[in-house]
Amino acid sequence: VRRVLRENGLGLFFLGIFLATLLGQALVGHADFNHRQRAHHDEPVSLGRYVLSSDFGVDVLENWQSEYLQFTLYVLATVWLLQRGSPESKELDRAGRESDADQRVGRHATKSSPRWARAAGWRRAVLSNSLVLVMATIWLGSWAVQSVTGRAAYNAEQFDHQEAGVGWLGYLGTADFWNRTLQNWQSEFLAVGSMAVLSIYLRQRGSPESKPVGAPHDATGVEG
Amino acid sequence: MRAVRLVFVAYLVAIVAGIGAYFVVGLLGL
Repeated sequence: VRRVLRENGLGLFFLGIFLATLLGQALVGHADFNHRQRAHHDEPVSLGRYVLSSDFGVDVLENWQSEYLQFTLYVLATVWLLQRGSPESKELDRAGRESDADQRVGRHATKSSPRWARAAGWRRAVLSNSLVLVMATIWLGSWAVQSVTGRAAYNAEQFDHQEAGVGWLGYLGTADFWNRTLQNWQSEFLAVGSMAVLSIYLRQRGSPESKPVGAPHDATGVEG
Repeated sequence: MRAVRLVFVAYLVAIVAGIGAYFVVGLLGL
């Protein structure tokens, strides 16, 4: 058990704090929702009902989609774009998809390579892009569900004020949808750009996200 | 590697379950 925890600490730690903070969001979101219900002279709802509501769903999913967009873009952009001095960047002469030898695919695959790295055709293509494919799928899926739950929550608000609801396509044109979307995107892009740029001159001893403390500021693509 | 695979699957299940569940919630207009 100790070995399992040690070897999976990163994945388990973040899964744990994800579940804990999601629970926290449900509790305070529920309290906030009922506060607004009372202000509108409406009946309060139970915690279970709130967790299974579009109000809670859109608040969760709008954040999910932006995180997966961020990482999808980061994984893709770092294939071609470089940042001199950043440990997040590849070395300056390695921009692009690199050679089969560099990537150990086809006849350059080793005994311990995944089977699809040796395969030709679609299997190698799928494995070669699987991280971006899955991250992008999660981004688009959660963004779509943000729109579906966002529309339901938006319409509930509209009906509450005796105003007309909108269809799904109509909702995609509302300021509500784009305000929820862009307020998340901007923070992700700033954070990701900061990681790439701040790590040029700043260090965290022991972190693979940082260069070694003694590495020169202009060393590019050197991970701790 | 069994525990590693389990953590990998746990992440995928959490993500797919979350997206799937709220797709239904939104469709039903809950």
